[in-house]
Amino acid sequence: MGVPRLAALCALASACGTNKPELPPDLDRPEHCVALGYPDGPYGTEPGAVVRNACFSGWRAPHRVARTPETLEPIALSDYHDPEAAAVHLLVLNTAALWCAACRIEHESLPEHLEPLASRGLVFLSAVFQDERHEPAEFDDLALWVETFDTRFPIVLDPGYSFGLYASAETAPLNLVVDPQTMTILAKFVGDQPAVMWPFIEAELAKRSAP
Amino acid sequence: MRCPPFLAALGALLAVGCGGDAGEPPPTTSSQACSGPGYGEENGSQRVDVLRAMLVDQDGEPLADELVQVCGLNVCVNDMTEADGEVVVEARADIVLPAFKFGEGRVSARFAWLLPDEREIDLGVVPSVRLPPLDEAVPLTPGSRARSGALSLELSADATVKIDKLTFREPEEQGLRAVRVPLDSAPPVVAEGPELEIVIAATPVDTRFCPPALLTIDNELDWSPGTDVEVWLHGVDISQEWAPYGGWAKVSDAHVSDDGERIETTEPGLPVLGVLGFRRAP
Repeated sequence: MGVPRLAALCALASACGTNKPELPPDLDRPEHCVALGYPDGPYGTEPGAVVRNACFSGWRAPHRVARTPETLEPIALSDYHDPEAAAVHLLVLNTAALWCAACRIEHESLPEHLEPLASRGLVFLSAVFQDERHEPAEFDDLALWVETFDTRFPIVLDPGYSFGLYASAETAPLNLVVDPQTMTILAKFVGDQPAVMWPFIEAELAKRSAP
Repeated sequence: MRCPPFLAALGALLAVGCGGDAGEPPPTTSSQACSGPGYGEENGSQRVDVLRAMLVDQDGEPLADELVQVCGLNVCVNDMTEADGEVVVEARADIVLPAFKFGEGRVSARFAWLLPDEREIDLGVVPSVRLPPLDEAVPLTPGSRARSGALSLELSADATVKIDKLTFREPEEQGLRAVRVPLDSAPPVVAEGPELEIVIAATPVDTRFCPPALLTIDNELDWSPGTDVEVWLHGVDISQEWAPYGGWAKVSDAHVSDDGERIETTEPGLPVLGVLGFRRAP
């Protein structure tokens, strides 16, 4: 059994967070993970709809850990559900693949965008889903991506491309801007669209910090 | 308007006009030599439904199990060639500046051939270029010279060599491999270029050298000593930092050495590796 699959099962076994529901053994697709208190459906894939919970394995702070399979942590979208907006004011769910040139361009520029916004409650979560030959991503791919871009935000493996619900792989990167209080999709950006996306994020953060 | 590379990339992706005319590089000073001028410009999308092609090497042999893509600035649809080199890519997408991208720079050289504005495209037999085997790769080490085939690169001791390790992951893949591209059986994108007289495909594609490398090739065409030469790069990168995607841009000047043996770059040198074209300066 490969490391990623083992890690995924470990993530499921740990019940994707603090709650520990009993999952049927055949539910090995990440989107079937369950978290108590997570907003009920109906779920959807377009702005205005609630994003379905999904569970992965990855690193919350990849620059602070030894990047080995043993340090992979279970990470779920529900981890960032913040009904009181106590810590998370805005959530961006991002996809990346090693073959994806636009994803590379995007990740090279992320630090300059994220550093000033992290203190304003922005959480950026990226999911690496395919390798350079369009095969499902494995642990080595995730580690290489983190090393290449010196990633300093939560990043996970998504070999099953859970985010394929929202956009086809060919159009990567995908960026879903999500309201962490309700897990509602506020905007969906297909392809790298920094000149549109970052002003939108800035505006949303400004709204959320307004008295 | 000239843009920094990052803005040029954004401009390309967002179809915002921002960059020089394709193939006509702005003048480069030594301080700018480590970042490209950027070639992004406004492009509309076009529909590509199906693309058919048969990929062969310079000897006409099928290139099997090669990654090929219908790839533009916004969408990239991939497929693999069959044992006979055939591939059918079902793209069915609206693509900005779509190109048939073939070769990963591992087995064969990487090219991007801009596609006609047609929904169904049959490219027929597409000649590509098989690279030397991996065991002939020569390490690219600062402070040393690497030679492969007719091409050599000299890197200064303080040079930064940035290899695309997401694509070229194994150490042997990160070595220099270069091969002369026969013009009479070159991919059409070569003939569509700026009347090149010598073409050499080199990998690892998109390796960046800062400061630029001293590039030398054998003067196989016996150009006269002192002849001024231009070095052009084929653009396969959607950031379009050094060359327009699917096109060509001049990246350095060169000249024939006094003894007539070599063609060597003068200013600024070679900043990035890929398919390189040479012609005598007009």
